[in-house]
Amino acid sequence: MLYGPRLQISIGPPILSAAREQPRSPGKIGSRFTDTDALIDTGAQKTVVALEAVRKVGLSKINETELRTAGGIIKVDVYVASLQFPRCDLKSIEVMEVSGCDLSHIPFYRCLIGRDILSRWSFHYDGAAGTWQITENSTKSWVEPPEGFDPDLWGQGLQRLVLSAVLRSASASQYTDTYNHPPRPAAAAPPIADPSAPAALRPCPQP
Amino acid sequence: MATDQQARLAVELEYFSQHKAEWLAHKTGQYVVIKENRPLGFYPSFEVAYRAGAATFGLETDFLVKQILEHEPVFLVL
Repeated sequence: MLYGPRLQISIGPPILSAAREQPRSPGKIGSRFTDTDALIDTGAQKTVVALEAVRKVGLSKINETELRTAGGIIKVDVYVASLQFPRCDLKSIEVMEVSGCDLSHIPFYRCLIGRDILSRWSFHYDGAAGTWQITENSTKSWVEPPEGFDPDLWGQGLQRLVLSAVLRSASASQYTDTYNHPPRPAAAAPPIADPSAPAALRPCPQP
Repeated sequence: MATDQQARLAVELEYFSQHKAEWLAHKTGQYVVIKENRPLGFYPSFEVAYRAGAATFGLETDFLVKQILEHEPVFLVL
């Protein structure tokens, strides 16, 4: 579980070049993006970000929702964020909903990548070989997952949308990795990387 | 901190619950953007709705973006 398929991601506020930005408080400048490891979780319908990362980035709250977890149903806040993938050529997600949650039970990760993100990719998991691969075919910046629609509404329409996205694919991006990384020290979770630090000094999940 | 988080969007969520029944008739599945006691509009997707809200209210303020559904979804995270 702890050393499953993971990606290095950069979490930040939504990327909206056309939006009218209001002046930001000085304390927030320079701390708007944070790099962390994210665990790919096919059992998660929605992507979840640790509250620690939410606070660090200063994400805006846009909704509340309920999550059914192994521990029962919990009410959580929903934030708007962007996700980038600095170590691979996957397209950035400029605007998306993320649920803020306590993830202290998975100490190495501050994000669970759920099926709302996986719906953009082809994800191949080879358990016997200990490898996994993501292929990104769609040219769309975002494809709504089936769970995001009222089942009565999406039916044939969504199937056409997904098919259309695949048919309009340009060059496919591919990222392959192994999940058999050596475990990190079992001490406290590593701190979230300082975005101002040189890239070479940031935590890197290489095998 | 938890109390502060719950207070954020409390006015907007209350406004949504007061008007949800009337919106369900013709807006089911759409996303509504609400700031305080004022709906900005209805949109076909989350991203379109958020961009409209950000263009109007800016990036540094909370506003509600919520899909109009008869039953509030509970999402599985295991």
